[in-house]
Amino acid sequence: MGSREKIFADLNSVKFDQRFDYPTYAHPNSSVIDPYNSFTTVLDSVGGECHYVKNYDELKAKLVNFEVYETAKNICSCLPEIEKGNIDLNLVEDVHELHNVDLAIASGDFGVAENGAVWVNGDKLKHRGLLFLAENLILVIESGNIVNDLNQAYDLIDFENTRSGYFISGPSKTADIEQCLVIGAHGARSLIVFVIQGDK
Amino acid sequence: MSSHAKEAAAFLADEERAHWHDQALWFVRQKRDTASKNVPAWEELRETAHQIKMHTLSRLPEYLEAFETKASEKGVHVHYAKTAQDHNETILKILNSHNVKRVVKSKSMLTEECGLNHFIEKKGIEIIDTDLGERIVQLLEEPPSHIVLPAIHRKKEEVGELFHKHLHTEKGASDPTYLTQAARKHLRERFLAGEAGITGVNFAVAETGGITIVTNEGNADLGNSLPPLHIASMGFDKIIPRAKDLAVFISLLARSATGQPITTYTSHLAGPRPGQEMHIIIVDNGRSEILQKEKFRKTLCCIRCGACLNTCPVYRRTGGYSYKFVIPGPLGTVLAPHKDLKKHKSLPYACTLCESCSDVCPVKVDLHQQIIEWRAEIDKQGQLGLIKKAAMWGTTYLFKHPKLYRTLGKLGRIFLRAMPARLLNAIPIWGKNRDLPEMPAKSFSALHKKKLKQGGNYGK
Amino acid sequence: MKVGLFIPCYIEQCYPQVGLAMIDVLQSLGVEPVIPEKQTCCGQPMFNTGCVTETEKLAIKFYGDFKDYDYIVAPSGSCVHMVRHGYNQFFRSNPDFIRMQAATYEFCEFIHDVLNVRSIAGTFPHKVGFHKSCHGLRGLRLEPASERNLVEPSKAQSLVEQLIGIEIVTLERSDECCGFGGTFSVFEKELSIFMGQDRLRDHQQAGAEIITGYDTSCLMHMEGILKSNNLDLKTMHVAEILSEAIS
Repeated sequence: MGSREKIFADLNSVKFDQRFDYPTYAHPNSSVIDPYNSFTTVLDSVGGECHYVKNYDELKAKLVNFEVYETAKNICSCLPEIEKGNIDLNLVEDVHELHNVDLAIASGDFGVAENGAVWVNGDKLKHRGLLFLAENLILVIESGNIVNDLNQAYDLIDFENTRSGYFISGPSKTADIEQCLVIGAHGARSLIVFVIQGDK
Repeated sequence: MSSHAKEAAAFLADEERAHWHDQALWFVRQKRDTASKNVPAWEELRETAHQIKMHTLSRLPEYLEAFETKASEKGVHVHYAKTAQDHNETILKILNSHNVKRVVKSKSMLTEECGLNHFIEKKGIEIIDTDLGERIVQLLEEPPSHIVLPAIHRKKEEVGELFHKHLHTEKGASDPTYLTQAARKHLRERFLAGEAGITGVNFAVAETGGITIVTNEGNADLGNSLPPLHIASMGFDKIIPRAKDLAVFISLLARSATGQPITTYTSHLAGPRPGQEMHIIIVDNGRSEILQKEKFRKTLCCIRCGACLNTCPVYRRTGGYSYKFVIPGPLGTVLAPHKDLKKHKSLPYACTLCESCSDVCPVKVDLHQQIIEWRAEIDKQGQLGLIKKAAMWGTTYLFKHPKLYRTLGKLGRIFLRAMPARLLNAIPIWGKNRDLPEMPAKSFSALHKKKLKQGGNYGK
Repeated sequence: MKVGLFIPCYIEQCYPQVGLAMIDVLQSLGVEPVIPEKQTCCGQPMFNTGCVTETEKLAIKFYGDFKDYDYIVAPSGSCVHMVRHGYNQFFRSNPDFIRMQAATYEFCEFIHDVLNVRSIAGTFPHKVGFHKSCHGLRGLRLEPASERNLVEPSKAQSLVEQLIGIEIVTLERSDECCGFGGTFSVFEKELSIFMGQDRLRDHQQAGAEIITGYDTSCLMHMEGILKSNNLDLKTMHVAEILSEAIS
C-alpha cells in the first residue's frame, strides 16, 4: 500500500462521536469607520506610505519627487500610464534578469483598511518574481477601492481564475535578530501605494 | 529530577539571560494582546476558526480528495507521504529527477519535524534556509528554539560574531539593520542560484486546490518565483474548505503570532507559474494517530502561530531546548508524548496549568485540558514513578480518613514548630530561597470548634 | 440557605486564620455557614498528578460531605475549579452530583454572584497588590484575563477596591502565574521559585505593602520566597483584608 492508500485508510477509520457542521458565520466587520484614513494609518505603521491622487497626471507629477524614483537606475513599470522606465517586463525572458531592478511599479486591485494590505494579482505580470526582487515597490490602486476588512476583501477575489495573488502590506521586514524590527529583509525595502480616487 | 526540570535549572542558572529571554517573549505576547484588542469580534473569530477546523477534520478524506483533484487540475503534482521518511524520499526523488544541487527553503516546521535538511545534505545537495532566523540557527548548527522566531534565544552580538565568521561582516558589529542587510545580500545570491524552492504551507484550500503562504521577509515568494521547481510540504491538517475561510484565519494568524495585523506577504498560489513545475507533498507523520484520539484531536486545529509559546511562563523562562522536542512550549508538550510518552513524560508536568495558552490560542485548542489528559495517560501507562505514585496513594488514604488526617496534621505541626527555622528551611523539598510556612499551633477545625464552644454569635 | 464551607487542606493546617476571616465576613453579610466536620480534600493534587482513580475516591467523599448544602463556599479558586470542572468526568448520570458541582463557589464569587453584593464597607489604608491566581482567573473567570478581548466583571478585586484608604497598585504583568502550580512547586522547584521572585519584584516595583488574592496556595508560595529573601512585603487573603476592614 502506498502512502496515499495508507493515509486514506487511516483517515476513513476515524470515528467522530459528534457532528461538526460547517459554521454559518456572518463574519463580524472590523471597527473601521473611515477606510481611507485607516488604510493610510495602518500602512504607515508597517513602514509603508500611501498617497491619494485624483488621476495619473497627479500621480506622475508627484512621482518625480520621490527619492526611490529619482535615484532608481533600473525601473520596471507594469502600468501603461506610467513611463515604462528602462525595463519592459514583457521583453524579459528569464525572471533572474530582474535581479537589479531598483524600482518596480505594479497595479493593485484594491486595498484593505484593517491591515494596510493591497491585493496584487500576480497573473497580470509576466514574471511575478518582480514584486519581490525589486529593491523598491510602488503599487497603484487604480480603482480607488479600499475595503474595510479581509472579509470584504476575500469576497472580491475570483480565486477560481487566479493562479497567483498576493496581499502585500508594507515593505519586507524581519525582527529575527533580538526582536529588533528591521525594514527591508529579502523583498522590497520600501513600499509606496498610490490610490487613484478620481474627482472625489 | 525530571528531564525538563533539569534543563530548566540549567537555563535559569544564568539568571540575567533567563530574564532577557522571558522579557523578549513577553514583549511579543503584549503585541499580540494589543493587536487582538483592535479586532472587536476577536473571541467570535476564534470560535469560528475552531469550528471550521473541527468540521474539516471530521471530513478530511472528502476535503483532501477535493483539494487533490483541484490542485491536479491546475497542474500541480500532488504526492502523499505517510511518514517523515516517505516525505524526505519523495522530495529527494523530485530533486534528483531535475538534477538539483541547490535548494532554497523557507520556513516549514514540518520539514524540521521530518529532518529534511540533514537528509538532503547527506545526499550532497545544498539546502539553504532563507528565513533569517532559520539561517542563523542553520549556520549555528542548532535547531530552532521557537516555531516562529527560530533564533529568539540568541543575542545580536552572537549573531554579529556568527555573521563575521560566515558572511564576513565587520568584527564586533551587532547592529541588527547592518546584519540583516548582510544576510539579504548573501541570501539574494542563493535565491538567484537556487534550482528548487521548498516552502511550507499555511493553508491549503480544498475548493480551489490553492495554497496560502505567509511571510514578512518575502523569502518564500523569492523561493517559489525564481527557481523552475517549487515543492510545498504540508501536513494534511492544513486543509480548509473554502477560500473565503482565509478571511478568518489570516485575520487571526499574524495578530496571534507577532502582533501584526497581517504579514507583509500573504501569497495565494494555485498551480505553477508558466515554465515551472510545482509539487505539493501531503504529509501524515503521526497526524492520523492524533486524529484517532478523541481527547487529543483538537491539536490538529493548530495553525502554528506560536502564541502559546509566547504566553507560557514556563517556556519563556526555560527556552525551547528544555523541551527536547522539535516543537517546544505548550504545543510541543501536547504533541511530543504521542511520539514517545516515556521520553517526554516530564513535559506535561513542566506546567503550572495557568491556562493562558488555551486563552491565546486563535483556534481554541484546549491545550491545558490536554496537558491534564497526558498526566492521566502517564499514570495509566504506569509511567508516573514510584515516589509520585506512593505519595498519591498515601495522601488519598489520609484524606479518606479524616480523623487520621487531623491527627497526623497535629503531629506534623508540632514537629515542624519544634524544629529551628534554619534547619527547617534547609530541607531541600520546598527549596532554597523559599521558606516553609510558619505552622500555627492549632488547625482551623480546632480553632473553629473552640470558637463554637465559646458560643456567642460565632458559627451557629 | 444552607451554606457549607469547604476548607482546603493548606488552610486547615497552615493558615486557619483565612477560614476564620471568611466566616467573619460571611456572617457580616447575613450568612451563617456550617463547617462539615469530616471534610478533607477536593482531590486536586491527585487530579493534577494524573491519578484519576484516586481523584474519584475523593470526589465521592466530597459529595458525601457536601451534598446536603444549598451552596458550598471555599476560599480557594483552584479547589472550586476542581469541583466545578475537574469533577466533570465523574457521575454524569447523578443529577444531584451535578447540582452540587454547580452550587460550589469561590468565596468572592459567592458574594458577587449569589449574595449580589458588589462592595463591602470598611477601611483598609494600605497599598495592595492583587494577585489573580490562575485557576480562579481562567478557570472560574473571577476576573477579566488580560489576554482576552471581552468585557467581563471583576468579582474579587472589585470587593476590596472600594475599601476606604486602599490603593490597588498597578502591576507590570497583571495576571502572570506565580509559579506555585501545586506539585510543580516541588518537582520544578527552581523554576517555581524563579517565577515567584518575578511576581514579588513586580509587586515591589509597583509599591505594594501587601499582596492579596483569592488563593492561599499562591500566597503561601510567594510568602515563603519573600520571607527567605527578607523582602518588605506581606501576604493576606482577600477574606483577611475584608475581615480586618469591617472590624
